Amino acid sequence: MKLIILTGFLGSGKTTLLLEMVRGLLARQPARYVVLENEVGEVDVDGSYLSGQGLEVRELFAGCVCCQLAGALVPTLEEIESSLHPDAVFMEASGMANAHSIVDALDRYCRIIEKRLVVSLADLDRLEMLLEIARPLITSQLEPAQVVLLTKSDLVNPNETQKAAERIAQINPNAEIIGVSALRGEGIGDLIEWMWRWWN
Amino acid sequence: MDVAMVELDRDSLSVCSTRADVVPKEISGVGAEELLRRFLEDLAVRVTEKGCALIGHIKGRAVTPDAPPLFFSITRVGGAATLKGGPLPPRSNWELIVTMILAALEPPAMRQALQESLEEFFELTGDMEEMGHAHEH
Repeated sequence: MKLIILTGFLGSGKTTLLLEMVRGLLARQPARYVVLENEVGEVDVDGSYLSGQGLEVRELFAGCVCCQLAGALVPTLEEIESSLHPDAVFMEASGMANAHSIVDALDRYCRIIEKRLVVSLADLDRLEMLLEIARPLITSQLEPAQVVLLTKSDLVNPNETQKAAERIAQINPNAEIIGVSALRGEGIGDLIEWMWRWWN
Repeated sequence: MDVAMVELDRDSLSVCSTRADVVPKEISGVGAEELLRRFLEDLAVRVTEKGCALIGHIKGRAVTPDAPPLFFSITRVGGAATLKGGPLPPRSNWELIVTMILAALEPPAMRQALQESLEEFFELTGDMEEMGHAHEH
């Protein structure tokens, strides 16, 4: 089973991009994808949105998957694998999650993942400010990523996107960095192309 | 600007989820979606005025019996609210679920801000129901 982990701060656009990824990949080749949705609130908002879009969704909510729900993550993935046999699981981590903790837990305890991709989202509209006031959390979400998506590129000018890409490259020099705007559809094709190459 | 210049970590963020049954107020020339946008923008301002240092996310859904749910989200004062789904009929009973994830504001103050914003734009047809609690790492 392949696992795609989407991480990134609250409101960075994870749910929207997850839907774009699934649709883009399904347009290239039919497959069975399951979404594992993690929310810290007692009410599942994003999972209910994705279900309404026709996706198969499992939920871990009322806690963060990097800490309170860490013990539930591996059994939940195993249950998904044994009952649904998906080609891939897209896991949307809560916006407060430390991605290092998730990756560490999976690497230690999860034996069913044949390929893992960490996609981190950074909201261009708030990245500078968040790096200023919440740097440890934001860098913990960016550092383990193979791909960093600079989201909401429609809200800033190209120079700002370039500056943000340079800052991300200092934090994670190995990541592929792609600017995207779900609103305008910009960068989505590049993202799907990159994922398709990774996939195969 | 909705940010006080303080250092934040995950422990600074609190979560509050609330459910309320409401009917949108009639405001001339304002449709259901615009009303929801104004409500969210008002709520973002109110939580900030009560001391919120950072709006992590305010999001939720509005559900009526006869229409697809409408999902909404806002992340900053002065930023546009995002709406997906709907459309909702304007003068009907809505079930509103609102989750707020905010820094430096405790859930009682969040609920107070929510109640004030709700009363500005909606008629509440029942009690607000708390569905969440503070997040602890």
